[in-house]
Amino acid sequence: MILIIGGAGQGKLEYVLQKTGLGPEQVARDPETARSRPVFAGVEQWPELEENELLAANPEIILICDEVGSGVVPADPEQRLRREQVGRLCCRLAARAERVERIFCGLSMVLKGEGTWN
Amino acid sequence: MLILVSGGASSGKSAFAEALVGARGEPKLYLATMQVWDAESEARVERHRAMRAGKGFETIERPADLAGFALPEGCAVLLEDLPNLFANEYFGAAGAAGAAERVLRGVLRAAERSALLAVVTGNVYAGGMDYAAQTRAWLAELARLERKLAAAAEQVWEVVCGIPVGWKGEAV
Repeated sequence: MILIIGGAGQGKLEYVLQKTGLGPEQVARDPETARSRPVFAGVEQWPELEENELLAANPEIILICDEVGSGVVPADPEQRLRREQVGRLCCRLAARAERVERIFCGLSMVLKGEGTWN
Repeated sequence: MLILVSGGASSGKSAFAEALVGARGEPKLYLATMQVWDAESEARVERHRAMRAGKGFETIERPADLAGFALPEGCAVLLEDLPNLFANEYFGAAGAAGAAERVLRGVLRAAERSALLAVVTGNVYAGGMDYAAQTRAWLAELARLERKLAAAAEQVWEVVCGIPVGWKGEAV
């Protein structure tokens, strides 16, 4: 599994499509579809994602997730919980990923993994 | 020695900072800044307590006035966390005026007395500035305070999904 993170609109999906040669129609937007697609974008929309199940079904998947935890702690408890869930999910995913890259202004920083990707 | 550890919400910054302090041979202190006032903060304290369990930390609660605290000398200390401490100071009885200076003085003094002081802070600056005026003012002062601490620190880390990224010091 490869994990790609970064702020919204930083070019994460474009980067992945360019690296892999995949098309937008091969990108899953929900966990069910992600079981049989090479890329799952918008993981931050699924803070309660069951990653064990997904990775058992699709161990080579590329996961794309927005970083959402870098504002002032929200006053609304639900929002607070959500961004913490996304943060913890990313920690778990990063620990299992063979590669983690962070995209910033379309540029990549490798946080985990050897050499260049593709 | 002062080390600053930042990161987003639930980014693994506490676990990383705790491992830095936990690896030291000196007596270990945990300076807790959070005032417990509801079930959520209680659960948060409990989670962090479980993380530190069995690692030999002595917990000291110090929600404000760090400068007025006689920290035992020569310890390895984990201070968690700066935004909380600064909010308690800024919105607390001592007042917003001079709050940043008081916290800066307190942290630098604590660092001088410690073998290692790791300060956990939060990257809270990239969620827009769509906040109440008072929050914006607090945020701007926190950022200035943090930059001063980063300038004084020997190491500065940002933890991203549990992975430490070095900004200053050894790691860079």
